[in-house]
Amino acid sequence: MSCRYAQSRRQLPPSQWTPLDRQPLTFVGDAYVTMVSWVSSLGVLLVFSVVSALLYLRATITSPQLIMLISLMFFIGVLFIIVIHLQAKQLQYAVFPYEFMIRKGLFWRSTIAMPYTRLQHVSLEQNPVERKFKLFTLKCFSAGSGSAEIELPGLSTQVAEQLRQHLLKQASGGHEPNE
Amino acid sequence: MSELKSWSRLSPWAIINYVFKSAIELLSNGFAVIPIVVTGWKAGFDSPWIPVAIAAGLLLILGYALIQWLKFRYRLSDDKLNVRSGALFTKRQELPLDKIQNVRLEQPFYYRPFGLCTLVVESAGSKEDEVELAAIAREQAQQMKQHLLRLGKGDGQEISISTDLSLDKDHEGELLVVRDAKALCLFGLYSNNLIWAAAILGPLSGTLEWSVWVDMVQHNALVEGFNHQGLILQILLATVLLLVLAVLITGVNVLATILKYYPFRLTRTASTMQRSGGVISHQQDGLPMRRVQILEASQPFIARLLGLWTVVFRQVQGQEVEKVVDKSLLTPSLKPFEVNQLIDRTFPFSETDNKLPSRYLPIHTDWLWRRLPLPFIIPILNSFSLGANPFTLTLWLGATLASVVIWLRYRRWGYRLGKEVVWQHTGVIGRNWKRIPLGKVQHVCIRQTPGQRRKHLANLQLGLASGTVSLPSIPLRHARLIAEKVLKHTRTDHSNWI
Repeated sequence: MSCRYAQSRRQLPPSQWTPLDRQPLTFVGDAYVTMVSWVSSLGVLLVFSVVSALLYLRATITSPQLIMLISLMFFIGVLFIIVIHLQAKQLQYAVFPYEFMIRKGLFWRSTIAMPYTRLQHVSLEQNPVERKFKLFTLKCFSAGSGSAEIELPGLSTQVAEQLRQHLLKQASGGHEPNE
Repeated sequence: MSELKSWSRLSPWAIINYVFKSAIELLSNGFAVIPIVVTGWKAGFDSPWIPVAIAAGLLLILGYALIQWLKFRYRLSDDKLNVRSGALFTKRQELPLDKIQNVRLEQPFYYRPFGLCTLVVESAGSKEDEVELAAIAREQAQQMKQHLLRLGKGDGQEISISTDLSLDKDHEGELLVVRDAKALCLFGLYSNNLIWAAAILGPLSGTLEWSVWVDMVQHNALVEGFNHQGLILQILLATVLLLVLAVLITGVNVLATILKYYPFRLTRTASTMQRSGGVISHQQDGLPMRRVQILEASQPFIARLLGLWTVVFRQVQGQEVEKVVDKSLLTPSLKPFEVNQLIDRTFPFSETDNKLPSRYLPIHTDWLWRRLPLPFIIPILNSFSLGANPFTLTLWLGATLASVVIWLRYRRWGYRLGKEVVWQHTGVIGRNWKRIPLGKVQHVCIRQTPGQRRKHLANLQLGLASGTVSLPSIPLRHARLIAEKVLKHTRTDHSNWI
């Protein structure tokens, strides 16, 4: 019995470890995707209408050309919104015993890991749009560069505050994390 | 050091320092006034007002310096340095000693006869947080420096090396590098980037201006027989002029190097590293060892011909020993074996990883193939739309040059995984090795494009306090290995790494 138990606790050789870029993480959530989609849609709509109006009023082109141009623009705009939407869906994060990790990107995928021991400062930020959607952006800073090494948008109020508390505690601690 | 625990005032000699400081500031900001003065002069008001104005300016500087001196107080206690200063607005600064980045002793020429020094203390933060204690007796300044740096050493494990401790007593420590005037001359020669700008861009812009542009404007002239002799003469003249300019700039650079660094000495005690030198202003920089993030050995093109290296100790970004010139603690003109010796004596705690690697693993050709076509896009488009003309030809030439640069960059980009460090090699015509201790890394990033995913490649970024180091298009398994090693090193290491 104990032998079998020990068997199940046998250490895995490095070749069988789950690599950093394959670790399963948590998706940020639907609220963030909704917000990003709204913002990108509004932005595209604005640009689309302004450019269309200008073309209609100013440009000296025939109407078939105008229609073709506008429909091309519409197509690119929709494509843009879809890409932004899919990209937002890819944002993931995870709290591990020793490090904080995020993964992002649709085509260019990156996984960023930051050990708590190298964390200097954590901040929660909220821009007007985020305030509307009751979402927060978490920023993790280490030394040197003035910009945040990790930027995680789209967190709900409760998760954001909890996460900040946890990260700050881990960063200041010289103690072993609970496992 | 009980006398240091109460608020004290600087010696009156500090006024000289303030006078020079404000004079320099006034002169460097005073360029705007020059046109006004000159035009005024030309307009003919050689009235007695000018000497009066100059006298008033001098008096103002003197008065300002006096007030600055009167308002300045400092207090050095066991764990912090307090400073009160400011002529108009009072500024209070408190520097905890363990936040001090480095301490510099400067001896400007006007203090040399009196044996006085200026102690500059830099802490985390911006340039405004720098504290300058002027006109302190050399002995006392040394003592204060010891005090400031000793408490800044952090966890204190380094001090347990007994041999270094014994040397620590005579303020000097172990002598690492001495550079004489000849070595510094060579450094001035090879570190001079302006020659290259002049030598490469000069003739290029020369030919562009005299041949291509002239041709473009009057392209008929080319067919009808241009005055070739005149053209060649012009190019020759321009080249000679540029050469003279390059020699002049080099001369100035060599002279500046000598004035700044001679006689160069780099010493090391148990926990700090010190550089001293300087002719006009004798300067002594002290840097706590654990502040060193990356060791960088670089070799510009001319240095390659001479077989020499420059070693730089990189610190936390924005907190370098001399922020103004953006140069960290550098050691000039080292032969390859001296570089290895220096690394070995700087990091005696690590038994491996103390030699510049002789070879490096290359990044994948994928990196090259993705970039090589890019410079040719514009010339190709141009050739299609405009056809062959001198302008398109120039674009093709430029694109070819750019692709050669890309190819060189690819060839020099590589890495090497040591026991506790990662080495990165980069360069175009020069070369550069970075020694990145795993324990100093702050974050790791693995980044992949869809193409890289298919080919099992990845870009790896190692974020350090001294800047980000990237290894593009390396095998995914190496990226993972390095990332895991970094996390393993840092996850339980709570000691201060900056």
